Amino acid sequence: MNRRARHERHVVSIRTRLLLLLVGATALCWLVAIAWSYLDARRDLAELFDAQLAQAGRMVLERAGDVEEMREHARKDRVETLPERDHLYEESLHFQVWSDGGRQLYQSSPELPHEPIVPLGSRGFFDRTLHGTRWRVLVLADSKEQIEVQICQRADLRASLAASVARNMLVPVATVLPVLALLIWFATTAGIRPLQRFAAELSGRRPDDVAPLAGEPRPSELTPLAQALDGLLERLRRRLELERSFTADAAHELRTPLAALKTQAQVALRARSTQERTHALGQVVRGTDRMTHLVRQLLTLARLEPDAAEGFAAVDLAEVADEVLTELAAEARQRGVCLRRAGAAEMTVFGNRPLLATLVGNLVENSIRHGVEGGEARVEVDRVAGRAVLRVVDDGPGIPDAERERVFDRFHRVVGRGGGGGSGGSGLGLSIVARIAELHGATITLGTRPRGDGFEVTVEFPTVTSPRRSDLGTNPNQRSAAADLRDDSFASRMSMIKEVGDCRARRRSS
Amino acid sequence: MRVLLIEDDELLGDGVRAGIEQAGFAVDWVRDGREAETALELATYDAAVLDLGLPGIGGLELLARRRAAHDSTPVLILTARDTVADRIAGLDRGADDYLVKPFDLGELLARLRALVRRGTGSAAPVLRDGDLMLDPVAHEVTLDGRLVELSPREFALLHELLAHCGEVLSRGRLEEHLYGWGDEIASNAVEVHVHNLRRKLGTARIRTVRGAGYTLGRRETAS
Repeated sequence: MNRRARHERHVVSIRTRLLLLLVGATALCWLVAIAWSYLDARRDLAELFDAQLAQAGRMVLERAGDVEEMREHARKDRVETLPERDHLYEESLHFQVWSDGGRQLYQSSPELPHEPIVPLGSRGFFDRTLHGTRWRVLVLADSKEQIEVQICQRADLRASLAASVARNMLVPVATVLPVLALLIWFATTAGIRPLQRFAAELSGRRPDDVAPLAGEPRPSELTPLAQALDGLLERLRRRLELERSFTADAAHELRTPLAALKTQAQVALRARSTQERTHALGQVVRGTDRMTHLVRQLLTLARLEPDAAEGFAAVDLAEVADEVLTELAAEARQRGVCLRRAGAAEMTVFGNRPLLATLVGNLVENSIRHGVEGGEARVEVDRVAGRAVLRVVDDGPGIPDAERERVFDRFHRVVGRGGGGGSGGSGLGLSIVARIAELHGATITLGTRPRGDGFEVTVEFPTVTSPRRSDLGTNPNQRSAAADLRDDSFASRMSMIKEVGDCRARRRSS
Repeated sequence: MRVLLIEDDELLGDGVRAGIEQAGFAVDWVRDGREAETALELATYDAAVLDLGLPGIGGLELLARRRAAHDSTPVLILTARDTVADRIAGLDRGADDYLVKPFDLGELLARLRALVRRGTGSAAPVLRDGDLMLDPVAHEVTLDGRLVELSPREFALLHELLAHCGEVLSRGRLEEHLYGWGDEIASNAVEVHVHNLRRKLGTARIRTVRGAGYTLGRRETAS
């Protein structure tokens, strides 16, 4: 069975739930009432029967005045004169008559034992079991204490009578309960109608209708639901808007390089000199490179789905930084930018290695593209207050304060940073960085440079619970270097500086 | 003919400039709205090619500002936005034509020629003066049915004179329409080109108006 079917099986509809609860509660109340009545009836019946027993006992005692007569009567008439049983309960009453000498004068039934039911001389009510039947016994004596009557009655009669009272009450309840259930069913149907109307209203909405739901008058129970849905709608709307603007931007960003490619190709076709043609064809190649870069960045961004976090593992951020710098060394040399690596030789973060490489790569590429010739781009990997920190710093023109908010927007290019579109930026690099950082739970800060120039980006990763892992840092020297760098002192941070790319010009100038 | 190209994308701007130059127009290329505004204030252009996605002042805002300042330079918009609403917005802000990226260079040039033509008040694509005919599309000049070989500058100069048939055009104005900002201009460049044109078309065709400049055609009304 699939999950959905199992899920459906376990969820009880609100109507069924209400029906079961209401019918159950009603039935429970009735049962308590019936039990109460039963116990009440039993108590009342016991009083009644005891009173009856006492009355009968006294009558027997009066009649037993003449003992001889009684005996005579018992001997002669009992069998003949005692009528057939008139009533169901008649058989249930028996008695013994005893003289003060402990002699039995009479007994109403041969089934009774020939000794006293309770010891002679006792007085009052007793419960006794004779031949497996429970009896209620009353012992009475005349005023002179000469004659003692022990009269008894079957006790189970009382219980069965009380039970029948309860049974009689149960019958109407059992009959009415289904009717009640039906009524409750109709009532709950009417009760949940606002919910159904709400559902119909929701399902009847056009997909682009994001008007708030909470504005309409509705039952107070539905207001929190409407408000929660409004929150969801608002988030969805913002997401949709973002996607829509992204699609529009992407179309724009793809059309411009395509137009450039086509124009340059047509210029080459129409060229009247070799020089003109060569220049235009060179531009076609540049344009194709730019398109390739743009498409690659777009694909990277598209692949940054929220589930990318599922494949996270311990990654050595320092190693990633070193690899990225080696990869970009050629480009840096071409642009006359010196690449430096400072800080720890090992730094474990929890993340996705290719994504982290993209993050570092985009930041460094950014610094190379927008840096000045003979300048430097520095990558620092550090631990600050227990958190892994990656910092990329360049001494390029930096960005104006007004642009700070927007640099992470998709397709946003900073005016005047590295000479417009010619620097080949897609405007996606930093938004990719921001997205990857978000996936890693890292925070990004744009630093302010002391002299107001240069660009500094700090990515702060969340704390890793186990900072050292045996599967990282195979080089023992690197390990000890990393251990030395665990404290935050500036001197130790700067103790390891690697240079990649063209740093000769820089050293000459400094 | 002199065209102002307003385009922030290096690669596209470079291509469009080369393409327009191939068609024999002088091109000034600016990268943002502010520079464009200055250029339009300082010089007269026969047409402007405007990209809408500009940093600084946006393309549409620039257009609205120039139209408000009674600048009637014909403007062709280049944009990646292709919805009808975008086109309407562009044209209503004062654009004369609209091309969606990526476009065909030939179409861009044809539309530019049409804009320039209408700007001079003539609807005919082929300019003529008597037996002299200039076809801007084919880049051909014929005199009495015979093809005349002209250099690109000579062609541009003749084009300018024919487009403003009967008007006296100053040397400065001709220079402005023949050369973009980056071009090196010799002090007697216009005289040299006029001399060459007279050699190829006959001395009486282009007349010198002393102290004012050069003119072509409508001799009978001018005299």
